[in-house]
Amino acid sequence: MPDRIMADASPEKRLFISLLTRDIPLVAAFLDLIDNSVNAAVEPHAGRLKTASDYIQTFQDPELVPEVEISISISDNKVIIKDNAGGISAGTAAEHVFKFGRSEEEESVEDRLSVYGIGLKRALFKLGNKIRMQSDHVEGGFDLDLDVAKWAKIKTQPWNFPITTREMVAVGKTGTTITISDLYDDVKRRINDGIFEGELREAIARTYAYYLAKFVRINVGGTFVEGDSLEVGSNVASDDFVSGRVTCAITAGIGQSVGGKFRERSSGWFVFCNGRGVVSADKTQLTGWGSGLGLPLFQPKHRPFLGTVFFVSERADLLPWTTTKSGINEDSAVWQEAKRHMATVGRLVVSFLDSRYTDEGTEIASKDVQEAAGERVSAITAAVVTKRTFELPKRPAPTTVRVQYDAKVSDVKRVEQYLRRPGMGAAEVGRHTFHFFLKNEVGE
Amino acid sequence: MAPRSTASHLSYDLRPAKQSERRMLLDILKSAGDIGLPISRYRYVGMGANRFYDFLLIHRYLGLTSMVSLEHDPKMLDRAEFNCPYDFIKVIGESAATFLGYDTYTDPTITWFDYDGGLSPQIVRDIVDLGVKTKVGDFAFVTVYGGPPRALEALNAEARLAWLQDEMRAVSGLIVREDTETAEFPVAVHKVLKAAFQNAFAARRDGKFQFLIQVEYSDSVPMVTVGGGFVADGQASALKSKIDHVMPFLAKDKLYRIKSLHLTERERVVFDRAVTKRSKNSSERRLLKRLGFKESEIKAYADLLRFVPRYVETIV
Repeated sequence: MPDRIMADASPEKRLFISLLTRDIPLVAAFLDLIDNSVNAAVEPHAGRLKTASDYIQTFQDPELVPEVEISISISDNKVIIKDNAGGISAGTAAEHVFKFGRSEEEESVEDRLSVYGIGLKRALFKLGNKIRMQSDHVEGGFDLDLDVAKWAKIKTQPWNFPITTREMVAVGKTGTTITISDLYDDVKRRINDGIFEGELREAIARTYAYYLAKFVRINVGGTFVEGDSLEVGSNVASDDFVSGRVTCAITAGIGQSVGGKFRERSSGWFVFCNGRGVVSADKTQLTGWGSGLGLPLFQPKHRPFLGTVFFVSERADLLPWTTTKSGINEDSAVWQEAKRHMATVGRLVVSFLDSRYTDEGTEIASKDVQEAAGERVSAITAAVVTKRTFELPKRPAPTTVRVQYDAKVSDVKRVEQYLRRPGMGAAEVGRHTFHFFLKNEVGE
Repeated sequence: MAPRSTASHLSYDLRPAKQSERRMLLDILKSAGDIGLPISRYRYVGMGANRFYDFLLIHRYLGLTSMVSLEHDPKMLDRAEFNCPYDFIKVIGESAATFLGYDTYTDPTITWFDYDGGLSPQIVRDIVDLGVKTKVGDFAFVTVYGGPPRALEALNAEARLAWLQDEMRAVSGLIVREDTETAEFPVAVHKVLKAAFQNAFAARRDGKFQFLIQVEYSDSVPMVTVGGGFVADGQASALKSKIDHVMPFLAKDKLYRIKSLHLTERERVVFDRAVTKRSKNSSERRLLKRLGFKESEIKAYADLLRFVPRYVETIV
C-alpha cells in the first residue's frame, strides 16, 4: 500500500517578491502607493460613485472640493508618501491590508481603486528594504516596521507582518505615512536620472485628472501637480452601455488646439476605470485604430480626435484593467463590447477629419475644425450619459472647382510664344486660355 | 530664433556678468587641480567664435595647450581661423553633434559648449552624447540663451508649456506653468539642462556626474550655464566640498543668479571694504544703505567679489 504524503508546494518568499516586483515599472509602483491614498480619500464619497453617470455628475458638483492632501517626497535614499485621509484601522490592517490577494468575502463596496489586493505590497517591495508605515484612524491605527530581507528569511507559515496598534485619534487627525528607505540600487539610480520625477508628475496629472479636480491634491517634492485638463469641443458623439455590474460611457469629439496645434498627447482614446486613467492618448489597435474592425489606421490628419471611455463598477475587479492598472485586459468581454461602441461613436468624427483631405487637397481649414468642435468643455463633462451624435458642420457649397487637363508641351510653348510671354508656365497658359474662352465665347 | 547675443553688439570686454561666469568656471577647474586632477594636461573643447576669450583665459590661468574650437557657421569660419590666437588651437568648422560623433580622443577633456542660441532638442541631444563620450575625470559645461525662443514670445503660458513639453519631451517634466513667464524662463531652461545632464550620466557606473555650476547671468539677455565633472565616486565629494568652500553661494543644488551690479568706481571701493569687514554694521555698509543699496545687493557683491571684472581705459 503506497504512503500518502504531502509534497511541499508553499511559495518561497524571495521568488514571490521577485516575481511580484519584476514586471511593474517604478512610476506604476508609485501610482499604486498613491492609489492607496486616493482610495481612502474617495471612501466617504463611495455612495455617490456607483455608475458612470454618478462619476460625471459628481465631477460637475461645484460644492465638492478636494479635502485630502497627498504628499510625496523623494530623496537619494528615502521615499515618503503621506496623506491626511481617513487612515487604516488596526483591525483592517490585521485582516486585510497586508494579505496578498483578496478573497471574495473581502469585497468592499467602498473600494474604488483597490482591485486585487496586491498593489500596495508590490509597490513597497519594489522600492526598498526598510518599510515603515504609520496610520492614524478614529478607531485606532497601527505601526509597521518591516525589514524585507529579514522577513524573507523567515520560513514559518502563515506569512504575517508584525504590527503594533496606535491610539484612537479625532476626526481631522487621521492619515497614513509610508516611509521606504534603504532603497534598492536600481531604484536609486532611476529616481536620480533627471527625468523620473517629471515622468511621475506627468503620470499623476494624467492618471488622476478626475480625482485631482474633486477629491485630492497631490504634491511631489513640495510642488502641487495640476491634473491634465483634457478638453474637447461640445460637439461630441456619445454612447453608453451596461454590461453586468459595469457601466460604460463613451464620448468622441474634437480636442482643443494649443498655440494653434493639436497635441499628440491630447489625441486618441483615453480610458478610465472608476475615474482612474488607465490608457492615455492611445492610437493603436488596442483601441481599435487600424484593426480592420473599428477605426482606420491613425494618421496625422486624425490628430484632433479625442475620445474618452469611462468604465465604472462597484466591483473594481470586474473592470478591464490589468493588475498594474496601467493597461487594458484586451480579452475582457466588457472591453470587447466597449470597442464596438467606440468604433461607432468615433466613426463620424474620423469621417469628418478624413473629409478635410481629398484628391483636391485640404478642403477644411484648421480653424474650421476648431469651429466644428464647438465650445470648449472638459472631456469628462462632455461624457454625458445620453446618446448623442457628432453634428457634421454644414459646409457651404464650393464656389470654385479645380480644372485640370493634359496638353502637349509643344502646344503650351506655342501659346507662350503667341502671347510673347516665354516661360509663363503651363498653369498660367491654362488660366489664360480658359478666361479667353469664357470672355470671348461664353461672355462674362 | 533667440534675440541677438550680447556678444554681437556689446564688446566682450564690457560683459561683466559673462566675465564673472568665466572666472567662476576657471575657479572650478583650478579647484579640480587642487584635488589632484592634472588640469594643465587636459584638452579644452569650446566654441571660441572669433574672440577666443575663454581659450585665452584657460591657457593663461590653467596652462592648457591642447584646444579645439568648434565653429558651426560656415560664414564665420574664416574669421574664426583668422582670429585664432594660438597655434595649438585647432579650429574645426563643425557642429558639436558632428564633432562628438567622431571624436575618439582618449586623454581627459574639458568641454564647454557655449551656444549662442536658445533651447532646442539638438542641445539636449548634444548633452546626451556628452554622457556617452565623457570619460572619468572629464568636465562638461553648457551655456544657452535663457529666454523664450522667438516662436514662443506671442504665446500664452499654456501654449509655452505645451511647446516645451512637446519639443523637450522627457527632460521637460519638472517645468511648471509659472516657469514659462518671460522673467522666469531661465528657470525652465535650467530645469531642462539639469535633467538632460542627470539623465545623460544616470546609467554610467564608472563614475559620478557632480554638478559644479548652475548659474544664470545677464548682460542684456539672460543666459544659463550648467555643468560639472564626471569623476570617480571618491573625487566627487572631495571636489564638491572644495568648491563649496571657495564658492559657497554655488553650494545649493539650484540655479544661482549672478546679479548685474552697475557700480561706479567709488561705489566699488566702498563695496569692497563693506563686504570684507566682519561687522554687519560697518560705516561702509551704512553708507551703502544710505546710498540706496539693498542688503541683497551687498550679499551678491560679497559672493562675486573675486569674479566681477574691473575695466579701465588704456592705450595698447
